Formats: sequence, C-alpha cells, structure tokens
Amino acid sequence: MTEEKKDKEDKEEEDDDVFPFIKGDNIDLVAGNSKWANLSCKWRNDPKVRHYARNIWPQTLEEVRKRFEPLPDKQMRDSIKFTIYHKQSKRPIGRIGFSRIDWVNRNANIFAIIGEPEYWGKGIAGEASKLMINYGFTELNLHKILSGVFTPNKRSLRAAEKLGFEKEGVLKEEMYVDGQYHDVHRFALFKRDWKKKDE
Amino acid sequence: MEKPEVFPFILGENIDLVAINLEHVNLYAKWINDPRVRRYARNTIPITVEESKKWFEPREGIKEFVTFEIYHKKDKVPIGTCGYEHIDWINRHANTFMSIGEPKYWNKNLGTEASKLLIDYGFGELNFHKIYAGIFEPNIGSWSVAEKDGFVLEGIEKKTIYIDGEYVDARKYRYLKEDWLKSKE
Amino acid sequence: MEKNTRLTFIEGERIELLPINPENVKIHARWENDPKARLYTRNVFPVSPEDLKKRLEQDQERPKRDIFFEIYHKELDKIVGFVEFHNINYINNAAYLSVLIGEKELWGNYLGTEAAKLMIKYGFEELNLVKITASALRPNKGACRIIESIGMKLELVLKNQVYFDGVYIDELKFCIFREEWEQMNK
Repeated sequence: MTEEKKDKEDKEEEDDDVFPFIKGDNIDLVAGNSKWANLSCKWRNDPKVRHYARNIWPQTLEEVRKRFEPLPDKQMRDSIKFTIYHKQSKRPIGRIGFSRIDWVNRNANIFAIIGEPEYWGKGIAGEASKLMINYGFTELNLHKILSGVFTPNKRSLRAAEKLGFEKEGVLKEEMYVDGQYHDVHRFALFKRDWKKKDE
Repeated sequence: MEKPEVFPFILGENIDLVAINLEHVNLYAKWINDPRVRRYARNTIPITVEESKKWFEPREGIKEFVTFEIYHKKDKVPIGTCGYEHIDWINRHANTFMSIGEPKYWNKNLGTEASKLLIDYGFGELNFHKIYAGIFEPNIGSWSVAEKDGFVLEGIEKKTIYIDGEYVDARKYRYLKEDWLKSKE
Repeated sequence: MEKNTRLTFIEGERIELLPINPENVKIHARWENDPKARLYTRNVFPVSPEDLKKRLEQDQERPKRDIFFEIYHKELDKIVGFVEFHNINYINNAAYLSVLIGEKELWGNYLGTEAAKLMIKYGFEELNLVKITASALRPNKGACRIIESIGMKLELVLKNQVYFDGVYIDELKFCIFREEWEQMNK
C-alpha cells in the first residue's frame, strides 16, 4: 500500500513538471525545465551522442543550466527548443528545435538530438520531427525548413528523405569530424510540399 | 568635402526615406511635442530630448519596429518620420505610422509619396502579409489620404480615444498583400 | 486553501478572483503550454515556469498596464484559470479583457462567463473604465458565445489577421461601453 502511494507521488511529481506543448503518439514536445539540466549535460557530453550533434566543446553543468534561463519577456527569438518527452517511460530523451530562424525570409534550420541511445532507430526522431515541422509551418508561419546532414550520418540522411525533404545541394568538405573533412548535404522542405503530403 | 549626414535607404521623387539620425533628435522631440502634430498622434505626455534619444538607441533582438526619417530632397531637411511598429513576425502584420512634423510641408502629397514607399518596403522587402493603420475620425486630412492611397476601411472603433475633452472614434484601415500585388499589375 | 489565508480580491458565486500566486507558476505553465488551451490564444512559444516567474517579477509599474487574476473555484478548492486586463489605458479609460479556463474538464460550465462578468464589473466600477474590448478568432465559437453572453457587441472584423493552422483567419473584436453595461444591470 505504501509502495503504491509512493509511486503515485513520484508520478505526480513528474507530471507537474512536464508541460506538453505539442502532443504526439509516443512522445510529446514539452517546454524545457532546468531540473533536466543534468540530463541535458550528459547528452551534450556523451561521446556517442555528441558525435552526430557535433559538440566539440566540453559542456559544464553551469553552461547547460544557463541555457534554461528565461529570455526577456516578449522577446522574439531566433531559436526555439523543446524537450522530447517519452510518454510511456515518463522521461526526457532528447531535444528538438529550430535554430537560425529568419523571420523575414521565413526559414529556419531544424535540429534533433535523441540523447538516450536506446531510443535510436525506433522512429522517435521521425515522430518528433513531424510534430516540429507541422508546428513550423502551421504555427510559426515558416516558408522553408532546412536541415544539414553530414555524410557519415546515414540514419539522419534516410530520415530527412523519409520526411519529404529534398536535397538542395552539397557543401563539400564542410565539416571536420574524426580527423577528416566530410560533405554536408543540405536538405529543404517547403510549406507547399508539406501540406500536399498531409492531404 | 562635406561629410554626408543623410543615408537614404529608399529613394523617392520629392522625398527619401532615410535612417534615423540622432543629430536631428532635437527636431524629432520638437515634432513629438508640437501641439499641432501630436494632437492626432496621441501623445499626451511631454517627451524630452533625452527620452527621444533613448527611443532610437540601438536595440538587441528581433525588431519590433522600424523608423525612417522623411527627408526632403530639394530643401535638404528632415520633415517627418514614418515606419512600422508592433511588428508581428508570425502573423506577418504591422501598424504603420506617419507624421509630417513640419506644417509647411502639409498638403503637398508628400505623405502619399512616403506612404507608397513604405508600403512597397513592407510587402516587397519585409515580407508582410497585412499592414494596418488607425486614424482618428476628426483627422480627416489623414484618413482621406489613406483611402486614396489604397487603404481599405476595416471598421470603426467607437469612442476609443480621449482627445480635446471627448471620446473620439478611430478608423481602422487595412492593406493586404493581395491588394498590393493587384496594384502592381 | 483556507478562507483566511486565501487572498480573495473579488468574490463571485462559484468562483473568486485572486491575485497571481507565484507558487502556482507550474500550474500556469501547464495551462499556457497545453495544446488545446493555447489553440485559440495563439501562444506559439513554449513557456517554462522560469519564464513565468520572470514575467511576474517585471510587473512592477504603477498604474498597471496589465492586471492578472487567478480564478479560484470554491467547491473544488483549486485554481482553474486566469482572467486579465491588458493594455489598460488610463487616459482613454479602456482595457482589453481575456479569460482562460486552464482546466479543460471544466469547459462548458460557464465559469469563463462568470469570471468575465466579475472582471467587467471591476473594470467599470473600480478602474473607472469607459470601454472594455475583447477578441476571438472566428473558429473559436466557444469564446464568441461567452463574449456575446456577457453583453459585448461585435465592433470590427480584422480580415486575415492571424496565422492559424497554416492559414490566415479573421479576428473578431468586440466591445462594451460603461453606459451599455449600466443599462443592462439596472
């Protein structure tokens, strides 16, 4: 009886810290929370995860905590981030967002990081990306979403194509990874093509 | 060699739209406070030169407003200000404002010229979807010009502003991108 | 919440209006992020409790441009939403009213209507307002019903004003004047 009650309390504690902003099937996109700073720090430093996310600088907990600080009120921002929250396991498992948002040209770069490798290859990034793309076109009024993927990241290349991104071009030897230069493939998705896909 | 102090950003026939120049801040403060000018601009509080300066200080972050000086080419003087405020980048609309501060330049169609340049800039460069303007009912001069310039009356906000001891209506105008495109055909 | 520790500012039948309690910032964040609740408020950026805490700290000027209340449900003994005046203009004596019932299971019970009525009375009788406005997006039939049931009339239709679910839709602006309200309540 005591254990049940304890579980319920834990659940309540977790639930009241989690603010779903966009709801999905297996995951929700939720507002960031500084109580997850430790997890975020782990992901940013984890060699497996940071390899594809291209973090080449060690991240301290203080630096990571700072990212959760509130922006000045009413400030338009040039990036928007969500935490990817796994509904069944009730835990944050990654991060997704738009960076380099250009409000006049109405385009933005999409990025996604699944910080917990056990959730790789399960369609999570795809589900989160679909929610994010839909948000970008139908709520933020974007015209074009961009994504840059470097060649060894085959999983991401496949994922981009599956989502309907089209290759715009190749930036040759754009990234230096593991002692070598790699090409970056630039993908783009337009609002007009996204709507068509849905219909 | 004279140091150029005006930086034309958009070129017109009789006027240019130029970047705000803090050396003219005394003029801006004069206009904002001038009873004839501020009457329909809704300035009920005196504004000092320091406050004007502060308003035009460089700001961080994505712009919520954009201001131009209206510069008279022949006479080589600034005659007013205009621009966009309350810019909403997601809904892609903004409020447009225009004020010819020097009364001797009123009734010379310079407002119309500045308005046209500003509208082209809003739709053609800033990628707006809708421009709107609010003009008070007694300010017939301004709203009849706005209608001539292609603004469409969206409606009237009754008793919305207190001017000269009474509540006065505001005429709300809109200009949609589709109308702008049509006007260019 | 005990009656004597609760900071009741305005008393209604089923609800009370209380000043915002910074300790409730997690509940506020849940409502502001909730996809169903934010659908018609067009809140397009995620909001963390830290963001909300900061917003409250900045709210220091007098006279206030914005006034916020929590809506407290007496029988359920919990807060269920917000009601607010925005852009209060003390020269034009006008303000913009907005209501949000954050607890979705309570939608359809006219709690929003009750809160709005209390707020309008407060605005006309205490803040000396002459005109109160409110707006709703055209598809938001629920809000339009509430707005009309409290006596507000349609004043303006702003065409293609708001980007909603991938298209531009109209925003409807309503208003009520103090004289009209006084007539209604004779």
